[in-house]
Amino acid sequence: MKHNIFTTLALTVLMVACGRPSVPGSYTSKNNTPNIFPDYTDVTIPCNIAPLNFAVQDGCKETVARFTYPGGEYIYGDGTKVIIDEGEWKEMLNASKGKNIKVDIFSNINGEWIAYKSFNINVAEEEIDPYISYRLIQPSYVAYEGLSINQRNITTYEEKDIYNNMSVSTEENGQCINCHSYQNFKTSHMLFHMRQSYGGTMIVNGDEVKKVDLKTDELISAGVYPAWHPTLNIIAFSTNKTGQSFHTKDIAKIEVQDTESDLILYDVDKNEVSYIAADENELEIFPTWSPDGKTLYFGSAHFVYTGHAPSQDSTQIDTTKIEKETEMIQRYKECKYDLYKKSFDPNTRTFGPKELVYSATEHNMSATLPRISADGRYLAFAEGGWGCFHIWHPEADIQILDLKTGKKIDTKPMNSPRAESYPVWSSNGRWIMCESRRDDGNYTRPAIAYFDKQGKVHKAFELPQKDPYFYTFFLRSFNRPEFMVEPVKVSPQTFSSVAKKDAKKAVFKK
Amino acid sequence: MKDKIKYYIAIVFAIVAYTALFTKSDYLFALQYHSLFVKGHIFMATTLNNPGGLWTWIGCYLTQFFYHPWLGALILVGIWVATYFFLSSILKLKSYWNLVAVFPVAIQLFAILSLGYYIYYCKQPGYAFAQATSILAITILALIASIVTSYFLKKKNLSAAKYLAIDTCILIVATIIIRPVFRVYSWELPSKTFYSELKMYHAIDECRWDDVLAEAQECDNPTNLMVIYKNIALMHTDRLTDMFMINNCGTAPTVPDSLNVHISQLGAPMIYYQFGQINYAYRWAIENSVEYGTSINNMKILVRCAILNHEFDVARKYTAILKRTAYYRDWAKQQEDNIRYSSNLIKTQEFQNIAPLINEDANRLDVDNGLCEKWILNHFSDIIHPTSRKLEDVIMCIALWAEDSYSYCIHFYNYVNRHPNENIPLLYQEAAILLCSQKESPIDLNNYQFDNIITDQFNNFVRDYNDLSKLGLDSEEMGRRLKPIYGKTYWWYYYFYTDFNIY
Repeated sequence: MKHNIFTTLALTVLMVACGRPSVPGSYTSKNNTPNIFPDYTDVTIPCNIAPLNFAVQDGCKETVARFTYPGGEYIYGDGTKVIIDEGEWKEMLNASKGKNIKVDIFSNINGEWIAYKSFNINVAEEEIDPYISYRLIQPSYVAYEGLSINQRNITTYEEKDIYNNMSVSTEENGQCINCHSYQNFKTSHMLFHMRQSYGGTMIVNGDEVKKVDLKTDELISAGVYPAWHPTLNIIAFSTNKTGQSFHTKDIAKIEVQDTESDLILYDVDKNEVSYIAADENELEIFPTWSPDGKTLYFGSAHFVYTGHAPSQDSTQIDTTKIEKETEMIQRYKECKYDLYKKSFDPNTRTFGPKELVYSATEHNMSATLPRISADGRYLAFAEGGWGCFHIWHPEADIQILDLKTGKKIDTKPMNSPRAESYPVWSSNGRWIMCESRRDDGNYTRPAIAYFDKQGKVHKAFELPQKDPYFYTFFLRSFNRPEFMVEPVKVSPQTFSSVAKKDAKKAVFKK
Repeated sequence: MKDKIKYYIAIVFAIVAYTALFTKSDYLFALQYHSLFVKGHIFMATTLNNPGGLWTWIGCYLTQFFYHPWLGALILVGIWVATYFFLSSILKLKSYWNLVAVFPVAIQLFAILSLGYYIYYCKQPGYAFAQATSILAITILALIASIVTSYFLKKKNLSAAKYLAIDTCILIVATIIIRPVFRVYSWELPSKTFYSELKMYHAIDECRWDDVLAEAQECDNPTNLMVIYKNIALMHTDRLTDMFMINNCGTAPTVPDSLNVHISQLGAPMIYYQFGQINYAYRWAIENSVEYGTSINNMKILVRCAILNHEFDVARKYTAILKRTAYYRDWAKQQEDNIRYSSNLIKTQEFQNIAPLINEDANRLDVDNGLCEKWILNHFSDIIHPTSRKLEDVIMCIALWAEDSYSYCIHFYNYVNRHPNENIPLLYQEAAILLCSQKESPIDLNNYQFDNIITDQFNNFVRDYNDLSKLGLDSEEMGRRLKPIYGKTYWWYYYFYTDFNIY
């Protein structure tokens, strides 16, 4: 008898533990969609993305979500969270390619169940590149500690370090790491920079991992913002003299400004650098190659230093001599970038003259971070009021220019009232990922939007995380998200040991 | 009797350690304030991802209890006493040889008490408990290994010396396995002013201005930081014109070892916040979090700044985190109420203190180069059009604090014209009468009428000054002799405070 009671009890406990929530029998219907975090209502997602777990934020104690897809339905609920089983999610995605998953949310608020207006999760037929990489960094200004470049399999939640600066830096000698970049979405040829302690540029060139120093006497700095040619073993960099200054009141808080910048080309095999563009009155920045490797796009601001402070009285000239840094701080709103291109001959490795592609200054704006779609037709970029570092400019948005028609595409669905910057295309051109501060204005999260064959931008969604509250409790920004078609295979330990070696000096070639 | 000695030693150590810790309750409170433990797996995963992460996580968890210094100290001493007994058992110590087992825990006690200014620079979150628990773990692991080994070696009838050698080896191996979080940052105990700074900071954080001033008055040789804190208290109690009545002559702190301390790390976020410089407060709270770890202290500043900047979503992010701490849940909920009901916010003492200092001037780009005090002095001295009465006083007083005679003359001129029918505070008259004779004065202040008492006192000062000069005394000696009579005047500060080192 006793045995039976225990068995029954154990089975009951097991059933409760493993059981699914059920849709409430009675409820009051509402006309609005629920407030969920992250916002996945009516988004379009790739058919190979990790489950879009979310939390309902309506003050409820309990929530139930019903996912209806062409093959049936699944019901989830875990307090205020909706945590989707990975296997079932894959099943839903496979059955819903080119269609949608209908989501009904039921919330228990003060003992009463309410049903929200259902929303759809549209599933595109096109896949997304399975990996992305980003730098995790607190939204700091000058300080750097505990930085890492990470790679995430976005078809699951698996995340790994590519490189962590704590593996080489000490308390006294911190190391800043930045600007990870890949050749044509592949990781067999990649790079990232290390600054200060053990400084240099880490380059993976096939089987070789090496550290180089791109600063030569002729250049204003070592290579900064990189773009690896899609087929050749050459990398375009900008060289920048960068400074930071801080707003006393504006919630933008910081301006990152270049007082000088040029473009250079680095030959990986020969370890040689040469100029691409070095106009004294131009601030060239953010090079990027067209997918065929025959055009180099970049941003450039025309900025002529006067050497004098701007006069309070427009009828007089202030004769006080000032440094470039001071003048840039005082005239920071005048520094506006347009987008240009130069043709490139892969055989002779020579560049053509500079051609204007998009004039942001015509609209009193500043355009930076150009990226070309896989088919070469669309140019995505970040546009803000001034300057080059738009993630700190709340008004900054992602824009897309149709190079065929010369017209801009409506990108409102992927933008938010807060800062968006750093757009990148997936290898198939169907997905655009960007940095976005949409959640709170301070912490950068990767947002991904579908770009359909008709050239239409769809509503962006934040990179899904296993715990829906991850973004709330995570105190780092996702910086410079990049697509990859494969994971980085070099281990963090290998990078660390190479980082500790001396960098090989690049040679300047006239 | 011999066995009892082991317990007597433990009791004496526990009493000494507990007393030593508990008498530094503001310091213990500051330890938890510079740490953060958030309930939940995201914080856990982030912490464990770092080298020594487990001990950091445990250390941060236990450090919370320093919120009640008596409780935190009790737990810490308890861990040490347990470590002592385990160590004594592993090494099979008898009688007074048990003092050997006290040594490792006594070093830990000293390491915590001597931390001093490293509290701001230590990159080991939950430092005190992280090292205590990691060493306790070593002794437990070693004890288990020792018992197991002894069991198997008993048959071989080994001598006591051999057992001791084997147990010592086990201890070393356990230490290698556990890799304790242990470091003595400083071999000197901190100065008294260090504790005063902590006490004043704690009081500022809770708007206990009288306590700030009481601590300032107790100290004859304040640090610059103490002077700033004192002036913040005076500012928010509308007594900033008493600035020179309470010692305003700050010095750089006495710092052991080669540590370079900067106000940017010691108190910049709070100082900027109290002076209404919200962006700069936010910035330094973030910078210090990045370099030295996220803390309750910085998190609270971030919440306050975000609210005053109307960045409510990010404020909610931080309050969500604080709501998952043991002792700051209620504070976070209070802030959320302030976000929800702005009418609540504007009634708070903090808001009423700080809002008048947020000048409605245009935004500008600037750099503080890590020198918070210098920036505050320059920034406020340079404000030409203050938008509140409180700010008017602040810019006047700060110009004097910075000895920026040029700016003060302009401010004085504007002040008198703005308030033609009011009595001019004595401090402003003191300064103006002094600056009448200054060559760099942009405005002729000779035409102003000053109170007779000020004029007379100033004439006396000039007379006494000249008399002492004729004796051929150096400035330091003159200052010492004139201090009893004129030490609380601006004149004395202006002529004899020469040790103004920004750090």
